[in-house]
Order: sequence, then C-alpha cells, then structure tokens
Amino acid sequence: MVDMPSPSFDRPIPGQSLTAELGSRPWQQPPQYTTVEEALEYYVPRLVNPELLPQLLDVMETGIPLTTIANAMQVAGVMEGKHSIDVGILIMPVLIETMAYLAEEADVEYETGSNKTVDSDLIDESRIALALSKSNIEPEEEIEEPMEEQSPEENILGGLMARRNKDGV
Amino acid sequence: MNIGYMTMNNLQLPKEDTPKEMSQQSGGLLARDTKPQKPKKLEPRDRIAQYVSEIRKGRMELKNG
Repeated sequence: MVDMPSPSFDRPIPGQSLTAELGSRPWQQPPQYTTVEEALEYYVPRLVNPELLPQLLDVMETGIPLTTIANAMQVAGVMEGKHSIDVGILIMPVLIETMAYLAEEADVEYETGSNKTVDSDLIDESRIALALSKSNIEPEEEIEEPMEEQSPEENILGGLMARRNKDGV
Repeated sequence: MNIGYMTMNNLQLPKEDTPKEMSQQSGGLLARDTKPQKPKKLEPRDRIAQYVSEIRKGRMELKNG
C-alpha cells in the first residue's frame, strides 16, 4: 500500500495575498536595514538587553534549539520590514553564536540545533593529515587479510537431492 | 527544513592566517615594490564568518577558563 503524504494546512489561503493593498505590508516596503552590520546593530543590543536576556535564557533552557530561536527572530524582523530575508539568513549564524555565548556566560544548558559540535579539543581530520604529511609519517595502512579459499570438496552439498560424486556417494 | 541548521553547517570559517615573514629583499632601484597590498573587500558572508569566528573564539576562551 502506498503511503500517501498527509495534507499540509499550514499554508496561506488562496488569494490571501490579494486581501491587502500592494505595498501596504511592511515586508513589501524597502527594508530599514540593508546591510548585515546594520541588522546586527539592531539585534545584538536586543539580545544582551538585561530586561530581555532572562526570558531568552529561559527559552534556551527549555531545550528549544538556538537555530529555531534565531530563525523566528529573523522572520519577525522580515515581517516588520526591518531587513530583507537575505540579510536575515546571512545574520543567523551570528545570532546563534551570540546566543551560545550568552548561554555559556550564564551557565545555561542549551541546544544548538546543528550537527556540528564545536569543541576546541576535537581535531579536524584534515589537520591530522596535514600534521602527518609534515612529519613524513605515513598513516598506518590497513592490512588486508587474505581470504581463505574454500576447497572444492567443502562445497559439496550433502542433501538428498545433491549430485553424486565419482565414488557414487 | 531548518534554515538555521543549514546556515550554520554551510558556514565556512576563515582560516587563521599566519603573517608571512618578510624576506630580506634588496631595496635597490629595480627591486620589486614591497608596499603592503590593500585589504580585499570581503563579501557579506565572509564578514559574517569572521564575526562568528571572533565570537566563537571568545566563547571557547570563556569555556576553557
């Protein structure tokens, strides 16, 4: 039986974009901040605001990934007409990293939401290879063990329907 | 689709550049010009990678004491 995908209702109603005058929405106007630096100057003071920081840390402590929080922030910025969606996507890594910094400063456990584990103790494989090439030490090659060949006698099946051999057995 | 996840995973952090040692060059009339080159104007994503790298460095220092 074919597994049919369930319908998604989390979409705009057809014609919804025509319910308001063109240009009346903030995101249909030229953005307020056009560069990544301007956008960061808008976001970073908000992140470190002592009035908003405890709330942000609480959200992080609940286990919501930083990537999700940053995405929600930048989407809200786009909807308010603060910046374009391109600038929003560009600044997301900085927002995530800033939030990670704030969480560690406040000793709050958080989830990054990305597979990449940022750990200074972990050494990249490319760096290991580079170090080995510099020191002229060849990495240990895996020695392939020869496969044991089965003698044809071992392959003879002993079933009722098996072919008889020369001896008639 | 998590956009934040994608932006973080596709981010290429700048490699630490070690300053090249200035070789002893002759300063004669026909010597090559040794004026420092103008810094390249970085693309927005390169600037972002630079900012992330700086914040991460600070975070690692904070983490490691």
